[in-house]
Order: sequence, then structure tokens, then C-alpha cells
Amino acid sequence: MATKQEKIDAVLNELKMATSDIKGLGVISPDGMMIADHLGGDQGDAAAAMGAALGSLAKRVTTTLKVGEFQEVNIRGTNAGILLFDIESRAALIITVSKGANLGLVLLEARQAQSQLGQII
Amino acid sequence: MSNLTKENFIKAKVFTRFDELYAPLLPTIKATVMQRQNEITDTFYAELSKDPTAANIVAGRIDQLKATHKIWMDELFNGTYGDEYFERRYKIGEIHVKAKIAPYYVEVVTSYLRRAFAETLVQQGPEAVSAALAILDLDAMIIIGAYHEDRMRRMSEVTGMNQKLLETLMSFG
Repeated sequence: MATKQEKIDAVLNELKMATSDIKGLGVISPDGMMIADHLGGDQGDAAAAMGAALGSLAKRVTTTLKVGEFQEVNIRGTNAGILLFDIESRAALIITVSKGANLGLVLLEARQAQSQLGQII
Repeated sequence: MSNLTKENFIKAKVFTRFDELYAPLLPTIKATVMQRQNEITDTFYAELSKDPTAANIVAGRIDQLKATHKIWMDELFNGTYGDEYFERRYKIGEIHVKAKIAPYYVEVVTSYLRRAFAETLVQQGPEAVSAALAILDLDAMIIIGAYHEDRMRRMSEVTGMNQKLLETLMSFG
């Protein structure tokens, strides 16, 4: 029987394989700890902390502005993009995408992974 | 919430060997300091009243504050500095925070008291002065700790980030 970590890694691997527009991804805790790091590079700890901060602020903004439950954040940089998806308030899925990525496909796949991770975590 | 400040209080006592070097000495210098308590307290409130902001804070309740200050000074020299002492001092910090007294005033008042205690105890030798300064420093640390924890709590409320995450983020600074 697969461990929780293996199940999370499997979802991330499947998502990564879905489109070459996804450059890296990870699952992070609300405390800013990395649960599963498939981001590549050596910025995992900082990415986890800042991703958790982004999620917390986004949650706060959605509550303050009364726009319902926080679901996702989309940041577009000049060279690439960052997406963050809430996972049942227990974690967040962070994804980096290439410039000019097919966001329709990325979001479709990412939301499916978000749902799967919600059942695992 | 006073865990971080309490941890620091315990660590500071160990670091300065407070319980071994200073705690036993403090009750022996209590009488000397308390003889000057009225003068020290009166002078410090007179100085505070010259500052417009502080004068507003203390206006109309100076007698009450002086009585509280006397109790606070008395307890400085009671010889026991465990959990109960910490909790009473932390409560004082929380009262300062709730009253929106800027931490600057805690620092300048502590500075004034350090000089007043040193002048009072100089005849009794360096150990007496060191003991009085050591407990004053611990008290200031606890009160400033209450400010720090209040700021972290408010930052956590405003941003939605838990305190562990805030500490982690600051570690990248």
C-alpha cells in the first residue's frame, strides 16, 4: 500500500507529465514547510514559505472582500507564471509555468490534481 | 500567549546565572532601595509628565499609578523569580500594550530606574548594583516581550499567516 507521500508524489508526477508548460510544482503546508518538492532548483524552502504566505494573504483578502472561499492565485511574471491552489485549507499546490503557457490546459489539470490532493492530505 | 517571552526569560536567567548570583542578593538590598522608593517614583512620574504624550497617558491617575509602581518595585526584591513572577510581569506588559503605551516609554523609564537604582546602591558595592540591574533587565525583557508577541499576533490576524510562518518568513530576511 502506497504511503501518503507516495500518493502525493504520484499526483504531482502525473500533473507534471500532463503538459510541458508546467516547469515545477510542489505541495506546501500552511506553516510554509515543503510537503513535496518537485520545483527543481534550490529555492524549495523559500518557495514553500512564500507560497504559504501568498495563500494566507489570498485567503484573508477573499474573506475581507467577501468573494467566497479562496481557491487559487495566478501570478504572471515577465518570464514565467506562478499558480497557487488551496487544498482544503490544509495545504497548497504551487505550480510554476512557462511564459505563454496554455493556461486553459494547465488550470484544468491543476484543478483535477487539487481535488485529488484534497482527498489524500 | 507568552511562550516565546517565557522561554527567553528562562534562557536569560540561565545565561546570567541570575538564580545563583542575583536572586539571593535582591532581598538583602530591598530595604535600601525601598527607602528611596517614594522619591524614585515621584521623580519618574514628574519626568514622565513633562512629555506631552506620556502626560496624557497618566493624566488623572497618577496616584493610582504610583501605588502600582510601589508594588512593582517591592516585588522586584522579593527573592523569588519563577513562573508566578513571570506571569505577573507579563501581565504588566499586556496592560502596557492594551493602554497603547509606546515601548519607547518602557525603555526610557527602565533607563531612568537603572540610574536611580545604581545611585541608590553604589555604597553597597558592585554586586548590589549588578543584582538590581539584572532584575530590571529581566523585567524590561518580559514587558518588551509582551509588545513583540502582541505585534506578531496582530500581524498574524491581519495577514492570515500563522506565527510559525511569520517566523519562517523573517528567517529569510
